[in-house]
Amino acid sequence: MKNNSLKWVLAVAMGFVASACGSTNEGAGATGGSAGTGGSAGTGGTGNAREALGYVFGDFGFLYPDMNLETYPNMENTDFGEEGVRGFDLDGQIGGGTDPGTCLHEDFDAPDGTPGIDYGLWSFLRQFEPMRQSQLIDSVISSAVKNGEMSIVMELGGVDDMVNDDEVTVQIFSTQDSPLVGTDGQVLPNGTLAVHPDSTYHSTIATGAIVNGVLVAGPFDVSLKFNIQIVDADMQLTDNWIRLTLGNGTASGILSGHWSTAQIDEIIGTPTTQNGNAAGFDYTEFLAAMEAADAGYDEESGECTSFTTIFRLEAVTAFLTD
Amino acid sequence: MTHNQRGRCIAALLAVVAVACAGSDTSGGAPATEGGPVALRRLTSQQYTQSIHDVLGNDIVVPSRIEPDARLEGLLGVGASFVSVTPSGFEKYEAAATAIAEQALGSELRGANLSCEPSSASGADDSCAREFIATIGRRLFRRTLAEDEIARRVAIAASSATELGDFYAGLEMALTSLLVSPNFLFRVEEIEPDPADGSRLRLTSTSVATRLSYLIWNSTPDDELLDAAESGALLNTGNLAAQAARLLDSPKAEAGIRAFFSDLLTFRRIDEGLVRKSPTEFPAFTLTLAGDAKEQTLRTIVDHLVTNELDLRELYTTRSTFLTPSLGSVYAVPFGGGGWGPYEFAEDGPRAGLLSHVSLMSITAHPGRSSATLRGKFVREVLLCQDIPDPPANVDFSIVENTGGELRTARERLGEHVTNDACAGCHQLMDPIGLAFENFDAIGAYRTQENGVDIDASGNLDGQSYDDAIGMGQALRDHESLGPCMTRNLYRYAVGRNPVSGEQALLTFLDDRFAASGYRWGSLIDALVVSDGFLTASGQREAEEVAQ
Repeated sequence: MKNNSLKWVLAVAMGFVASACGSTNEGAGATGGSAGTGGSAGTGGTGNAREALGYVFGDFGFLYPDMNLETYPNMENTDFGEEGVRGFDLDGQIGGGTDPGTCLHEDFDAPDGTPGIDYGLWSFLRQFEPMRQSQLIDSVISSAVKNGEMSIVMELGGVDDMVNDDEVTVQIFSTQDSPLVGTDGQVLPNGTLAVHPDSTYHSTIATGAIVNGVLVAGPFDVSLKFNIQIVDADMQLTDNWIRLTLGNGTASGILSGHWSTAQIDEIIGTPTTQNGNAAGFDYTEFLAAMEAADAGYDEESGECTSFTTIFRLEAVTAFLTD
Repeated sequence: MTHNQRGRCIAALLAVVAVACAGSDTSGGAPATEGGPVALRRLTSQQYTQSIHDVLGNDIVVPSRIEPDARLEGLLGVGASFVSVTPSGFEKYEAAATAIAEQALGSELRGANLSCEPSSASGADDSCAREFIATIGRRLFRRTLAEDEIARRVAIAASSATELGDFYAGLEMALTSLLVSPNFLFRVEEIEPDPADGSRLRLTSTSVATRLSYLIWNSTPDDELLDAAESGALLNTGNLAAQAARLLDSPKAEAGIRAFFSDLLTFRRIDEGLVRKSPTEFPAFTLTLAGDAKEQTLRTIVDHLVTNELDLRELYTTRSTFLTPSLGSVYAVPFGGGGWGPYEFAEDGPRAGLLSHVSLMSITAHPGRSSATLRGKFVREVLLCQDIPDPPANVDFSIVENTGGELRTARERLGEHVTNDACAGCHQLMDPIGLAFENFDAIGAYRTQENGVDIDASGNLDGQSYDDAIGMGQALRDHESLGPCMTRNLYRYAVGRNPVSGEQALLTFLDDRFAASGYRWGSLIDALVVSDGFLTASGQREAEEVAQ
């Protein structure tokens, strides 16, 4: 853990502790710390500060195994290597097996050669140009996390040491607030955002650990609220794991889990093809491609109903309030 | 009655009592002084807008393209006494006047601005036009119009209405004529012999009313003040003090104090987009942040000086302020919600006082780096009224600009720079002050290191040592020149010029009053507006005179 990071965390922690101990504010009654200053709490603002280390997503989108690392420099040495995918083996099997109740699929290898990395959605994504890196869907999602259409915040709990800590928690939330965006188009650190008032959009709490500055935690379910152009929906991801490289005020990495084919159709297929075919898909081909789903075997229908996914994410520190 | 109102009333009462007790000493013991020369003072763009709104309504959209203001001796308020109107500027004023007149007498607003009903909407009505011109003209010219001034515009309204077949269109022409008149565009400060002392010249009562109104409201006098002026009541300093108290009690007084501090702190540079930062190095410095930063400081000043009537010197140590979420992000403090709210910086945090605000730290920095020199110069010149000579033309700034070189911190770079004897003298005045703020980068964000090296923010301000910006703020608060400098700056702003030599005793007296009040803003205004410097003049400034 870098010294500055520790100071930051301590400062935030001190601030929140102080606020919890009854500092007062004539106005709305909120309190908080002064991050990076070593000082105790200032007072003011609205909303009740949450007692954990907060982040706001500055970028979010599909992981592209053939992604251009110049576009995503922060991904280098973290979650993607040219020779493999640093995802998770979600099903604990290599290739999904052939037994009844499983979904046959090919896995990826991790850069270190570890087999069994699940990313079934990639076989789907790669078939549609509008879903490729920097194309329509990727751009829309990337913009949405910045402009408030799909704002996401994250909280790390129980962090005593940003480099090695054997017991931490992760929780992800939607927020109705928009992050602050700088002149470079990137989300700014140290904004204050309120977690979504509807607990539907609070993930279950994942537990994990930090080893050498890399946090791994899971499993957890999350429902992300978004309202992007013509699509007002919830994005439900289940049995997720998260891996984050923690930097000085930043966290970047991947979120890997399961996304149902029904949801993919609801969120991408139906609206983008039936409303002027904005994304330029052939809907028949779209539906056919979903037959490659690699998880969520449904005994009744005998079909696989979800894809394993990997989303990349980048986040910067933020103050979270209720 | 609020605490503030009570304070104003007591001040007014004391002024009246002082008048009664002191006989001819109408300014509470102030030394007899002859004010400096008066001049035509062109309305600043802010005064132009505020005057239009006060006379014709806040719904008027005032065109922003009018003659630009000029800063002289550090103040737009002084520069306004030394500018004229260029031919292109006149065209802008004419275009603005036309646009304003169309709105003021358009179907939506004419009811609020015109108290009479024309006999015919399709032709001339001299009686109704006269009533409008006399009423509105008085507010615009800040005095009752002479008969020929009214008659000329009634004729314009009549001929235009007849030609255009529209009473209101005709009246728009007359209003435009008022709005492009020098009597509106310039504050015409007139003088007359003082009947009590034929050797002295005093401002006419309407000129005093105008000075008072633009000082306290940054706008044109209202009818009550004009009535007091034209009845002669304002020539009595007790009445004048009472009017000043009334103006200070008005909600419009906030615009006045904002205007003064905006001028003094050069916030116009933010308004005009002249405070720029590298978008890659300082992405947080958005237009929103810049506007909020200015507003934060002004809100803090108003809250401190007006709402809470606190010691002006503590503006440099106060932890009380107001924030928005975007400011909270730069200050790295939690501040949610959608808008403004009060905030207290942490007791043991690194911020206190105006000089820790994003606004001033940004203004006194370069686009890509902080500037201890600019910050020190600002404190010396603006807050302590000490002159710093301009640098020689051939100065080599390469050392201080090379932030990526071997000299890692500003202190190291400036230390090397001042080995040049030609630079050392002035830099020794500025840099120790500015280095106190090195923990604030070019946009005022806090940092503990520069280029990986711990920042040393310690220093000494004219004998008082400090370890950091907090200590520097305390040293500034305790500096013997802080109060007198504010007195001098407000005086210059009020009279539109630098003090002349004979006015120093008055400034000393005003500062004594200011200090005796615990540096309460209202007390300084109270003392200033009944002083000879405010009420008398040595004559009209000659055209070739420059600011002294």
